[in-house]
Amino acid sequence: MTDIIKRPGGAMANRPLHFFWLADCSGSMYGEKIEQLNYAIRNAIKPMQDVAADNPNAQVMVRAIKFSTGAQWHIAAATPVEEFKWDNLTANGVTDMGLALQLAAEQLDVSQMPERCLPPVLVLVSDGQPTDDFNAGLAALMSKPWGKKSVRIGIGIGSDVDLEVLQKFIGNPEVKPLQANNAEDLVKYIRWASTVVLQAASAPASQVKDQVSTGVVPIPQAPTASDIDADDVW
Amino acid sequence: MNWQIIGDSVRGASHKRNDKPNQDAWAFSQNDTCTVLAVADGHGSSKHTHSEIGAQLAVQAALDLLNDFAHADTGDNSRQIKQAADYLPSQLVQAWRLAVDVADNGETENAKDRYSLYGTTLLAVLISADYALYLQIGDGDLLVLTADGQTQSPLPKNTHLIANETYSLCEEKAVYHVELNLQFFDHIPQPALIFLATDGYANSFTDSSDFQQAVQDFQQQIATHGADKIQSCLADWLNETSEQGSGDDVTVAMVLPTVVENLVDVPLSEV
Repeated sequence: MTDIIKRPGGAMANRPLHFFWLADCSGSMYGEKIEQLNYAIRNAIKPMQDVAADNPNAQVMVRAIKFSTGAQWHIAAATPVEEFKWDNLTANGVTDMGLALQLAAEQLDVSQMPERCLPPVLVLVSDGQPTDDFNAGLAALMSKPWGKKSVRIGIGIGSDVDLEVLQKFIGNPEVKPLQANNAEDLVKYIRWASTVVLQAASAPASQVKDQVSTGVVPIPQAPTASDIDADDVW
Repeated sequence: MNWQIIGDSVRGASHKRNDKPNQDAWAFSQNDTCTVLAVADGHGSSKHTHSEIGAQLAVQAALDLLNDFAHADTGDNSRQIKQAADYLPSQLVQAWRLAVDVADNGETENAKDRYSLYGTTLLAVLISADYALYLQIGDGDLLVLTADGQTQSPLPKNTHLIANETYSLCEEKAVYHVELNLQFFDHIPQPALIFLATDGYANSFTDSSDFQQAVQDFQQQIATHGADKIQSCLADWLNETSEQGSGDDVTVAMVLPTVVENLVDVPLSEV
């Protein structure tokens, strides 16, 4: 008889990695911007799934928040990346970005996201300036342990975006907001956040506490903006 | 009482995919006076490129230091031993830094940068006839299984460490992050098993109860099948754990009283 003994311990599982889109759906996004954002995210799904498949030790779960006048879940349930689909967003209203951060913060409590999780990734996409109390939203986010340790990427659309606000959201002086001035750049940046950043967050090495002023996951180099063609600029 | 050791360390599934070495280390020593067991987890990021060496230096430093501590003439009463133990955190950090200095051989001029290159965690236990001494800096798990089957943490759990952050021997203020506990057997019964693991192990289980179940299962399986048999299975189990779980390097080591009675000859269970 072969001596096979049951492996000690209970159920095993790969480590959850929660990925959040926070998408600006204010009126200024109406038209080409929101259409291109929908296209860019949908276009990034397959590459995102491929990156996730390459690391079977992480289970990527996707959610999305839309904000305009108020903030709501666009994808409320943490959805396994392999089942992730994107329904089109529409644009209308103001830019309640602070409420969006508060909504995300509610999910970043250790009671909802256990310690064995990988650092969550939050990608904030906006074309304007917050019309609500952004600082209160950011404070709510940073009051959560996983909020503080999250990987935060800011993508600005067009020239009216408040890059200072996106920089505050990122909270890391070494990582700058990305500014997409045309559809091509938006696709490029969304794909980078969905793949390269996701990959970095899904297999992080240990970081010494309090020596990490720039986040728990080193952020890879972002793609450079394309040469601007005046006809294509938003 | 005689103590036996079981342990192994495997390269993580993600480290195999990314062509990285096993950055964990473990070691033990036993003599007439004491048993010492240590486990370490080198940090592995780009700032800590020699951390697999740092982990090896850490377990060796712990073995040397704790063995010397057990043999030192610190006096017989618990108060004197506790007083001597108060110096262990600073002695440990100093010993590890000296070992790093030698290993680095002048390659890195700046001391802070040098220690950072070799950054690692450390968990260790010393068992003598009279006491068990537990020591930890950084993440990882050190659990005690009592005779009545309860799992306990002899050291305070650090709730601040999430998202792969850890305290480290390479920190400037490392001394302040070394947790230490001395338990005398005239107050607390000798443990049925002491379990040390790098964080890649616990992170592979769905939750903490599934992880703690492993500690109890190990003790029961060793009692049933014998330490040698469990030792022979351990590497395969740890590889499976890393592949199905965290993907990280996984090191598990445990010390438990030597079983003298005959092993039960029972049919072996299926996978």
